[in-house]
Amino acid sequence: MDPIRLYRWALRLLPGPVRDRFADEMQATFEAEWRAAAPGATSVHKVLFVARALTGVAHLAIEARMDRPQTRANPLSGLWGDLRRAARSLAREPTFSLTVVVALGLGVGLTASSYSIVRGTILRGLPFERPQELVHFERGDAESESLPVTPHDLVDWRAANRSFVDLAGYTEAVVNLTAPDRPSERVYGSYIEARAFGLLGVEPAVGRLLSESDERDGAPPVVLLGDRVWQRWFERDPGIVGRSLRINDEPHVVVGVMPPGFAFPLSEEMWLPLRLDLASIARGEGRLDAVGRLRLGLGLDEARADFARVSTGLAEAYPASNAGIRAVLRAYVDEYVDDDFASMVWTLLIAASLVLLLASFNVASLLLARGTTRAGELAVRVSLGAGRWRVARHLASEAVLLAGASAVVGAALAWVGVGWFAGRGARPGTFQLAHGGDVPFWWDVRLDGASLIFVLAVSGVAVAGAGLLPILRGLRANPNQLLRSDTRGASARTGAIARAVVVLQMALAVGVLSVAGLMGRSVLQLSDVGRGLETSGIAVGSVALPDARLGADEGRFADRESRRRFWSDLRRALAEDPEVEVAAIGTAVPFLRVAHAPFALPDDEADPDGPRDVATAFVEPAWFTMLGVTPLEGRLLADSDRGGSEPVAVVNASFRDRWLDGSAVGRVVRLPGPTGALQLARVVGVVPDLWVDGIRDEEPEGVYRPFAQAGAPNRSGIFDRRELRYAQVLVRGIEGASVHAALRRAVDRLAPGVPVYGLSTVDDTLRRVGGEYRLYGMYYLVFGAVSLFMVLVGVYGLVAYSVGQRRREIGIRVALGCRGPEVVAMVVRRALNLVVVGLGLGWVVALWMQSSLSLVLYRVEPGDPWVVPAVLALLFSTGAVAALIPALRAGRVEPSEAMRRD
Amino acid sequence: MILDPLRPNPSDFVPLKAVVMEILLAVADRPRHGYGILQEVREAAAGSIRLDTGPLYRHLRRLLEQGLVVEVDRPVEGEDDDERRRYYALAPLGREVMEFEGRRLSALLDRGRALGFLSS
Repeated sequence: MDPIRLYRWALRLLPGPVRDRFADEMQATFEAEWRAAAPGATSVHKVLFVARALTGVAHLAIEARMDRPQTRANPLSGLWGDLRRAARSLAREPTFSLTVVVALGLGVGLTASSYSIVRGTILRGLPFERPQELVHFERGDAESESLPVTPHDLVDWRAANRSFVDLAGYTEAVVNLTAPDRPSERVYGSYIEARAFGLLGVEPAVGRLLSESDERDGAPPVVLLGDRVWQRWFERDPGIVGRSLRINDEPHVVVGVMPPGFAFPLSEEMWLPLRLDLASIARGEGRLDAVGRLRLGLGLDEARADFARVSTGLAEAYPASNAGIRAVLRAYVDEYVDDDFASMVWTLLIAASLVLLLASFNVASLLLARGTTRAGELAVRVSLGAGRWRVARHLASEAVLLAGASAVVGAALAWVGVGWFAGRGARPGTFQLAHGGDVPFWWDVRLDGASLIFVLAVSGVAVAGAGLLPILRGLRANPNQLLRSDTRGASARTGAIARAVVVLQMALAVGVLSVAGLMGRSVLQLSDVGRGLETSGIAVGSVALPDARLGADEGRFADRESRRRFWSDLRRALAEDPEVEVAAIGTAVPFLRVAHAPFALPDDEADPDGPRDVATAFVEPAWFTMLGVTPLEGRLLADSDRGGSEPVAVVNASFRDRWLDGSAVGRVVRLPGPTGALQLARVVGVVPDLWVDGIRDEEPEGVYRPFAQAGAPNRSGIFDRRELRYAQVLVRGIEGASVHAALRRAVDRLAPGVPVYGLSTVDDTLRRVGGEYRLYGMYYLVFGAVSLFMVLVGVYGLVAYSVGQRRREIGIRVALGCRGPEVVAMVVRRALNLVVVGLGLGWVVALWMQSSLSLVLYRVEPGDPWVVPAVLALLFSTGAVAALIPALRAGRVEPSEAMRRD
Repeated sequence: MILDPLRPNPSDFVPLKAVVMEILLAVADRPRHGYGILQEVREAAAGSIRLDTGPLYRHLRRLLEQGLVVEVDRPVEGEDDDERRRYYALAPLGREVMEFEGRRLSALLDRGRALGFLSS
């Protein structure tokens, strides 16, 4: 193999123009080299020589192909040249460039992810046409704004109103889905009027929607599936329409599937026809939700006025049921996502914006400092005719590159932040919203085109804002003044601006860190939850006996007695299971919110619809002992508290303190009896508060009654047979047992096809509650850390810069006898003066923030006295440390500095 | 030297890579062809800089584009007869850049010596 020929062949890799120009010459050079080097060289050396030569050609070929065609004679002019020059000058100062890009990138990234969160949860809204027209209805009376809608009222509203295109009713359903080859599942579903789909303006993905004919008496049972069920159970089988499913023990025919992303009203997965049989329900009975679409052009206020008229009409026509009742209208989204959540995410965005502001200030002072340092260079250019415009262009090019790089960093950070929220926050139970822990189907938090544009825009604005001052100064610079070595005037002004910037930074940092501190304390308080209870090793499962359709008398568990028998059979089965150590059935899971039921004090008027209600749980005696609860007074529930014996109850400490004036045992209260009417029950014991309101604990009062005495019908649902349908089972198994399996076994044997769902453990539940606080806490931790970093950089930068400016002055002082440590002390003291001013301003900012921002905190008051002093102390010491480093360098300045004419 | 808006600033080219400086030095006193530059650099740098054909032409190409080096006609007293060889010389801009860089390095040296860690 002849290296000469090989080289010639390799030269063909070069692109046309380059080859024409250089190939011959390169060949000649190579030949000369080869002739000089080859004789006397070992084979290895020859091979290496040729390899290097060939690599060189390849490298040149790659470079030539990657270069833009140079159309101008001078490749460094024009916009591209500007950017390249700017890139070069930035690359020459890597510390500065990197600090700017990192600082801005952090600020932009945090702001962008917060914005994505706000946009995805609050701003995006429902994925329907003109979503602002969708209104949720409830009823209200003198005491409550959240009474359910009754079927009669719904029908009357529909007929009488003038402000809505249509109204539709719906209600939640417990849907037990059964198929022969899979374990039964409980699915969130909804009984819904067919007109709702037209109202919302949605089309099915497969098959058809529910229709009014499905709602007629005697129509065959049908179901409309959601995409998730179609996916999970049928692997998106296109032949799904017409198949039969057992829903609540009854075969239903699938008529269609909804497209992905539709889970109206909140996170429902299937829809069944709602039959409003007005003849079988009394006025004032029954419970529905209702949604309506406003007529084009009408607003909520006009609709409310219209419904005031309608409600008055109904109250006059049916005083027994509708006196004092009014319609309560709310924007649909507002009904399901409460203000607490909205204010939390907005606060997140505000805090992130403050961090961005901090970053911009940092960058501004960095650019200022650099601008002054480069003043000489710029002055030369300006004075020799370079033109102010040219100088400004150069600075602007640098700004563009910095903004671009920050945008990239910011986008990457935002991607991480958004991904984290979507992952953690999307888990049901993380956010306790108005209707529980389910994630609304219209939430869609992701980093999409709009968010990225936001990132770009914010980076641009931040850099422009931060860089504006130096650019303006560059434009206005008087070259003569800059060229003179006496630059005291300009640097004094720069110094003042830089100092003001540091003060502002401090103030902002105090604001952000105090919010972060509050959130942090909140998270720490969470560790109190569950203290004192034995939570380990207890499994939890929920069992739901199927809903019967309205009017259906058949089916297992159609009557209350059969349901009662099921539960006692289950109890016995579990007791006999050798793998089960102890089990307890109840209607409460520790740490989750307990449903409310009416109650009255004995002195209240005998009014079964009395305004009071309280968290009421029906539990077996073992429930308390499993968790290690001991009574504060009196006794716990016992096996002797049976169905036929005296009604008893155990209350928690908050209930005792609020309603029973501190002494409970032996007192009587009125609780719902078997017919629903309130009857007397004796309080036999007091237990500590056990988080009956979840961990929010806004209504901590609670009552525990024996499960054996459960069964009072409640005014729940359009179906009046809800009592004794659901319970949760707590099971502690023996060592190594699989209690979930044991529970399934027992239920399957007693009632095949009835699903066991929500399987987890008490420990898991404990971990999951408070997930919301931890999520926010994590964000604020990042905010706080970034703010601290910015302050560090900001103070360090300022002190370093000012020490640099005052070298001569320091040199003079040293020459006049000032010693090192004194210089250090002087520099640090000056810096700390500034820090203190900033902290003072920051204290005001923190007070304002704490009072005006409503935060969701756990057991921490917004005005917590510990947080702000701690934050002030932290920032003070950070400032001191940041000032110390350049101060130490100042301490080593030699007197000869005084002589330098820089 | 007049700085006009369209003319590139010598300061944009510095700091020069060591090997680029060697190439510019090689064509500073008289025009040379590619192989001649290679020989000169290897001799002058005495092993501290390594230059191969490929990299030489990469740098030459860029220097030509930047205007620091120009191609010149073969000197009358041709050293050899290879028709394929082309000759290169330092352009005025290249000279300015070398001067600028030289001054910069010289100032550095002075300060280093003054501080006592660069021997004279």
